[in-house]
Amino acid sequence: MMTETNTGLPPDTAAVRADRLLRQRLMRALAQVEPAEIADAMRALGELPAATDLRAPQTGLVMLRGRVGGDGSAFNIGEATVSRAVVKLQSGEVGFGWRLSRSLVAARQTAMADALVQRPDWQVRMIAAVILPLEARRTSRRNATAQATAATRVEFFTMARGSE
Amino acid sequence: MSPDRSIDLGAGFADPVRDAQECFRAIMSAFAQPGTIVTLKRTPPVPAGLSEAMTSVALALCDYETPVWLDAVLRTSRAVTDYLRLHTGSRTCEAPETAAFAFASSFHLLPELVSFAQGTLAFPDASTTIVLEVSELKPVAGWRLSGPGIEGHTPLGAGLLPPQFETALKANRLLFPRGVDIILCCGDQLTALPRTTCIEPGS
Repeated sequence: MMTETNTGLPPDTAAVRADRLLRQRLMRALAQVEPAEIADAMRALGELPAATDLRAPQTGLVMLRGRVGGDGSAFNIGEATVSRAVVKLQSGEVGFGWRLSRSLVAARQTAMADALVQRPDWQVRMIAAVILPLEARRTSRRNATAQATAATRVEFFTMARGSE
Repeated sequence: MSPDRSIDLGAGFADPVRDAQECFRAIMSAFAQPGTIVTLKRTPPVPAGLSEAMTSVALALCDYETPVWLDAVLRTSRAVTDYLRLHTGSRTCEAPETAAFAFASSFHLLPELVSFAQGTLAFPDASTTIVLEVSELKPVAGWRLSGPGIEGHTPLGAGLLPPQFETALKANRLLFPRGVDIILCCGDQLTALPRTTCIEPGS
């Protein structure tokens, strides 16, 4: 068992860094797809372990801050609708889910996915059934948009002008 | 599972908005009638080291804008610090004079009252509210309280608080309008000692 200091952070070993990268990649994949696609991916996992809500799914606003041109002082641009949830598996892992949109279901599924990917016995399944399929969906949608846009591209020419 | 992945964290209020409002109302009543003991009904599951009342006060009052001071025992408890960070978003502070709220699980872990933020004459509200756990709270002899919000006087017995605490409270009252306010907690009960309350040994 690893000893933890009271900073709340586990020691920064290669294994911990790898786990963190995997969680970040999972969050990125989940954040960039629609709630229905998350539901499909989670269904493909089959039966999930029991979990309790530490924070029941809830929707609220976050203030977006920005600055002009990357410098100057920060100002409030506006608010974005965000849903969040925190779940805890019976085995002790705590998963956090935040996403744009009002989908409470997707927020909880995101938290559930974050908890599962921390379990060594679920990591391979999570990569195969959630991360890779969702990344592929996002890539194909991006390509489709790029193709549709490319088909309507207008080439502008500048005719020779003047009389030289 | 490998134990290092597991986090000792519990849930907050079952109904965050309603329960926090009810707790807020109870704290308001306690401050309006100092020395009156209020029982909280909708308390959350608590982390080890905090009572139901202390946890409820933290969830109802603390947020990301309120620096929280914790005593030496609470500060070293991952269960407590993780719980407060998740459910309130507040940061803990080392220096008592910067704290908006101070939580102490025992009188003996509490530094002198004057080391906390006392507010200023222009902003007396910028002082620390101290939340202190006591071993018992009873509306019987111990102290005799009087002052705003109390008709005549009211008795309060707060378990095992030494005479120097009484002296510190008297000094605190002399600072008015500056000074700290105190919430005494015991299990799921609490009572308030605002800076206006006059405290005397009672019979």
